[in-house]
Amino acid sequence: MSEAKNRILARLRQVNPSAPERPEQPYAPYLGEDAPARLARFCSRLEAAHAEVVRCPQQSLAAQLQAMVKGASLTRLLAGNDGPFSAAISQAGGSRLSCFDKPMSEFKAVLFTDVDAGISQAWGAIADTGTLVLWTGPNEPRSLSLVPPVSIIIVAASAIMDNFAQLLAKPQCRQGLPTNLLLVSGPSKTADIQQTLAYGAHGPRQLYVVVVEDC
Amino acid sequence: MAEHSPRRFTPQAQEALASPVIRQNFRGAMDYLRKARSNAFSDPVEADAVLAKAEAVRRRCLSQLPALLETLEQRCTANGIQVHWAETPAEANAIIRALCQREDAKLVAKGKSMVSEEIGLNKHLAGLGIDCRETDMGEFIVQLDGDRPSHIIMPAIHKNKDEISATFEQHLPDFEATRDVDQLIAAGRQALREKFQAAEVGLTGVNFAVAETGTLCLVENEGNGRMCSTIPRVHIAVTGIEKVVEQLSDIAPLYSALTRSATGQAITTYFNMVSSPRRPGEWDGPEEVHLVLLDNGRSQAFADDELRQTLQCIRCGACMNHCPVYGRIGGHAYGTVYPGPIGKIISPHLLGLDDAGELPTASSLCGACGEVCPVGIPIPALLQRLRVEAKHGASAGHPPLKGQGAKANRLEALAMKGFAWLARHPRCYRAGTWLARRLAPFYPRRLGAWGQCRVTPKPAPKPLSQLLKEQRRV
Ligand code: SF4
Repeated sequence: MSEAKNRILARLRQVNPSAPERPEQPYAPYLGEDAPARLARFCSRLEAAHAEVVRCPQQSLAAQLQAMVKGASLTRLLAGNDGPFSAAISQAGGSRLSCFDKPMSEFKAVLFTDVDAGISQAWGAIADTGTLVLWTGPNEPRSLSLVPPVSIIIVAASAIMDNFAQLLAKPQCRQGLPTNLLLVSGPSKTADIQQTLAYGAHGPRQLYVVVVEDC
Repeated sequence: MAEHSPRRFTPQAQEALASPVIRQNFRGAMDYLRKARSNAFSDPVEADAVLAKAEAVRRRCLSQLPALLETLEQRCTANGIQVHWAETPAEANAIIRALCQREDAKLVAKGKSMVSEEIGLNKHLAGLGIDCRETDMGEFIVQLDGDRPSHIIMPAIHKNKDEISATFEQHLPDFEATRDVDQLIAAGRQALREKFQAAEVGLTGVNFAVAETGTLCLVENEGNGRMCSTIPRVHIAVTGIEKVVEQLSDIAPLYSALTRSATGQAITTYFNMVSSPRRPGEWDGPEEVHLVLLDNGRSQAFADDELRQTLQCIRCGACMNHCPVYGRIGGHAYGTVYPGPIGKIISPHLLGLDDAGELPTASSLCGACGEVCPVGIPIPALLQRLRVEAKHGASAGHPPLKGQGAKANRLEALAMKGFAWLARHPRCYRAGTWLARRLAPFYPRRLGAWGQCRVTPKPAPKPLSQLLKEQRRV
């Protein structure tokens, strides 16, 4: 089909659009005053989007997760292989926890029917909009935060950025994006039926976020 | 349901106007969406800044379109995404069909994609025994009904929950009628979860394609786009050639302008950036990713400095949400894939000025669409331009548009010429107005459809020129 390409490009090249006359203004979205302001905004935005947010020190992360799992009666948990919070996740999950370590084709049925909650570890977060940034990969499968009815995402407070533009400006993004970089800003939702908001459209109905304050 | 066509705009609009349910459903939705948008842009200084930036980004990216498309293809290819080019809907369908057949696919799970509507993909694949299942809740409902989307963001906006419950009762096994939206959504979720697992191919649109990194961005709330681009073995993304942006940094203002204009959200639940197929060591994600780039008349709009602005569109739907015509007749009456103001300015390029029927004239030119458009498309000016192009031959130096001059009318042209002549010959003009005043008693009482809600005009006893003269004398 490269003929189609050549013809399309040839048509476009016949024209020589002038570059825009006015100089572009820089884009200036939200900037937090300091770390506490950022954290507060991040949490309040996420809560407004119907997520449940808790904060805790790293030391009590495992206990916090355990309480969460108990409170929501989650019995079958799934997490990625490895990450900064994996030790706490294992400790909290115990025998209820399994690891995402099979290819999708073999794992689909289990993932869709046998898992109550997926636990993800965020790479970053955005205060402006209350957004979690998931850098998915071998240790952080992308469907963890999508298929199970409950999604638990852990994020370090120090990883909270002010805004989306800051994320996109990171050298890691510009030089080597992962297969799938994901922004998550709440549980799955829809307003497709008579503008009435309903949660759990296709993804998780519930999103729990744990902010680890001291790392 | 009869197929709607832009050529039958007037009867379709009349039919819609006669339906109180349609009027009510749209009224409710328009009020909701307008309020949401205005809340989202409550700080006018900030709003101006972000929208000016979004417009500037779109203009800059379009000014470099061919180069950006080539960079996009290079980067995507380097990342392992296979890029295909299609000039026409038929070519795009052929590409997608070949990919599905190679996979021996029986089921395609499709995320929301207006371009797939534009090429008529569902019907094309159905003809080959491949079920192309809509998975966006609104699109899913519409597809069950054998209906078409009536809004580009909220496809089932023309239906209320009772109607949707009736649709589910008819098509979903074991569904019991309900007015509870949570239950309705849960039923849809259940039905579609099976499809995500069974589908061999997932298909989505693209909101922004980033040339710098070869990244495809998808904006959504439901997670069905993520499902379609994560679970099946093959992911096909289809988009128009205008969706490419230069750099990653271009996305931030566009995304903010898009979600706030569309539904008043500061951000959507998911922003999904796909840069490659599954890499070694990864457990999930598609093993193949394909990008289909469609022209279908976009290069025609691109060729003209004024009409090129049509391609700035980021498909937010704000223009239709604020259009007094759309708000009354709804999306189906237009008979085009893209309804409302954006539909009136893009359809002539996709279909031709002949097939786009009366669409460019189906506007009161009130200007609301141009005012709310986040990327500054002067929609009313473009409508006027298209009206001219539909009536006349191409002007010197401009290649003719598809269907150029299709609406030309000899009698009308003659009448206009006659009037122009009269206006340049004051004596004849005065004689004419004198005669018009004398003939006033013989004017017909009814002036056909035009007179339905208007009284027959009466010429003033004295023409304006005479009044002016008298005033000068005083
Ligand atoms: S024309 Fe403007 S307002 Fe209408 S959908 Fe496109 S971007 Fe939105």
